[in-house]
Amino acid sequence: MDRRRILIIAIIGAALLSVLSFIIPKNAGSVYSSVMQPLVLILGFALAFKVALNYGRELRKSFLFLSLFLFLYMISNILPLWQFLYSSLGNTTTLYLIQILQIACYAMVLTSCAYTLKVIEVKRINRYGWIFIGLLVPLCIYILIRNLPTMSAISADPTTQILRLLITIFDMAIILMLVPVVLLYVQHLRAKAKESITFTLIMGGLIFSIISTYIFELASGLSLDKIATDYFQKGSVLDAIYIFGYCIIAVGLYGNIKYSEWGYQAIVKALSSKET
Amino acid sequence: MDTELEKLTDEVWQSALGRIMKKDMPVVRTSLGDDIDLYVPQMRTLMMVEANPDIASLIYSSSRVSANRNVFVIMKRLGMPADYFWKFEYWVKDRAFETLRKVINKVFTAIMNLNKEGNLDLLDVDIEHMRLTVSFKDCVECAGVTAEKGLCYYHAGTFSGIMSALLNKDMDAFEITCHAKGDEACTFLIGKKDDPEIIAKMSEYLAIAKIDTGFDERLNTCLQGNSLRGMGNLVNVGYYHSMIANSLIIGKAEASSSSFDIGVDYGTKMAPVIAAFYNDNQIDVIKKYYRQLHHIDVKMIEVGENVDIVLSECAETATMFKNKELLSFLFGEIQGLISQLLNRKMAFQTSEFENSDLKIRLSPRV
Repeated sequence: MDRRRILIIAIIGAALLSVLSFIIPKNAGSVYSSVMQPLVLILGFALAFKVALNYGRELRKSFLFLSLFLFLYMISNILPLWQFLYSSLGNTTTLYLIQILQIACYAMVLTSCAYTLKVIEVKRINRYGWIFIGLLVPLCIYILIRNLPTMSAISADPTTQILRLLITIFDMAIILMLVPVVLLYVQHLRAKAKESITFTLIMGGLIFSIISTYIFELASGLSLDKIATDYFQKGSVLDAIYIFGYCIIAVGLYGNIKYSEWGYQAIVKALSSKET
Repeated sequence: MDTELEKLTDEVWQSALGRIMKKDMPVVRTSLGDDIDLYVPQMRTLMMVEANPDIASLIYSSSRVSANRNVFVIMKRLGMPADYFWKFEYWVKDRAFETLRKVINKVFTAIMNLNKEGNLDLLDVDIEHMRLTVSFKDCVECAGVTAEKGLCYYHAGTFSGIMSALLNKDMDAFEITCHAKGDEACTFLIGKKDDPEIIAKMSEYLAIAKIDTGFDERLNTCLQGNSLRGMGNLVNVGYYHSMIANSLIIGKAEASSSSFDIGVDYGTKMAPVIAAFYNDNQIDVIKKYYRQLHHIDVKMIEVGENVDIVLSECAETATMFKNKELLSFLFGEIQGLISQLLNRKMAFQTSEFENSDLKIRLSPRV
């Protein structure tokens, strides 16, 4: 089968898997999401590790850090683990742990992106890129302001509120740091005719997964707290978006592993089919 | 003219691809077949290079450009993704070697085997320096020739063009061993065009050097029909077309203006050797010679003082654009040969196509 067709079918499959999370009954959707999200992420971790072994130098490091990111992100997606930690260690310690994990996750993804940038030849963002960043900065500030805790909430539980605010600040920071990577990659795609379709899928899935919460927040008008408690792994649209993003990363990674084989099969097929 | 020649080389590539795709390709020549003795393209090129060493570089450049352009088309026709070798310089060595070798063998080795040009194989991939080594056994370009330096410029250009297109890198190639130098096979090193070591070796490889063709000896070997290589002495006529076109695409002015004179010299030198070999009357010698080489079916008629020659199934014009500029070497060759064999100073006068035949008139030189 043609490799593009395989990738399209895989993407449709990913969409169906993700849609299941909110079309099945609510409780089942919740269980489905809480299983699927870490499951797809651990699959992504294994695939990224396998891809890393296919490359050397910067590209190997890029995929190794991506695999570490997916592994840590998988841990952050095991909801029962965090519920257990909240109940046994308390709010503050668990929030500290979340923050450590968040920083570790983002360090991995940023390192991965830094190595990606070393591989691509385009190093300067063009005018349109700067305009996009210029629009994104006030948007991030707006999201941050929306999530500022009230004075009464701070006085009631200052540590928790400050830690939660820091989580949002880190999230905004990572978006602002990742966007230039995406912009440079898009510029690179346009400049070079031979860019990898699978690598583009991986990058797309990665960015999609990270920013989807905030897109959802802006679209729904709900606070991040409300989203975390009522929508995360509850069989919601947000869960479907997450599963889709993770599946796209996995599809991209799997495609990257199988790409040479598919391409070679296409050659063999073309050479063995008698055209007249 | 350039576009016509480019079209010709493209046709050769596409026809070769069609054959490995098992398409029903039309027979080029019904009587002489689709192959020609490798001596014909070889000696024509060597005579040209001997007379004008700049032509080596022209052949290299134009065959590189032709291969590059056609490999993109081939990749597309075979459904090979453009990003197949994405970031090849970051691949681990084993994967790079195995994947590239598989593709080369499946497509390009197959094409060259079908054309009987030689046996291409990937020997090594140096990922760190982005250098590839390929071997080319039974090379058609140098089989039976003795030389002090590598002279397979057409294939050096072709291999660099193929790799440049496959890996999406600007690459150059030069010979590190050549059968003509006494090595077992021709071996080419292909590296990035901006690699200082490659630049230095390239200028050395393409540097103007006097080539001694060892003409008489080579022609005798050819006439005796001794097998020069594992795949025999014949090569597909498409290769010959490609060689002619590539020697004319770039710098065609220098090449074609001198090719008639070089042809005359070639024909003159050839005449006593073939006359001695066949030991027959002049007309039969010419017929036998061109037929033995699968080159042309010749009919000669003496009309008064003129000599009319009808060339059927001529290798140069089979499927080729009927462009007389491409035939100037052959016209010169026939003038030199006939003049010498008839022991009369003849001069090429006119030529015209009659259906698929080419009619030439030679008249006494005034």
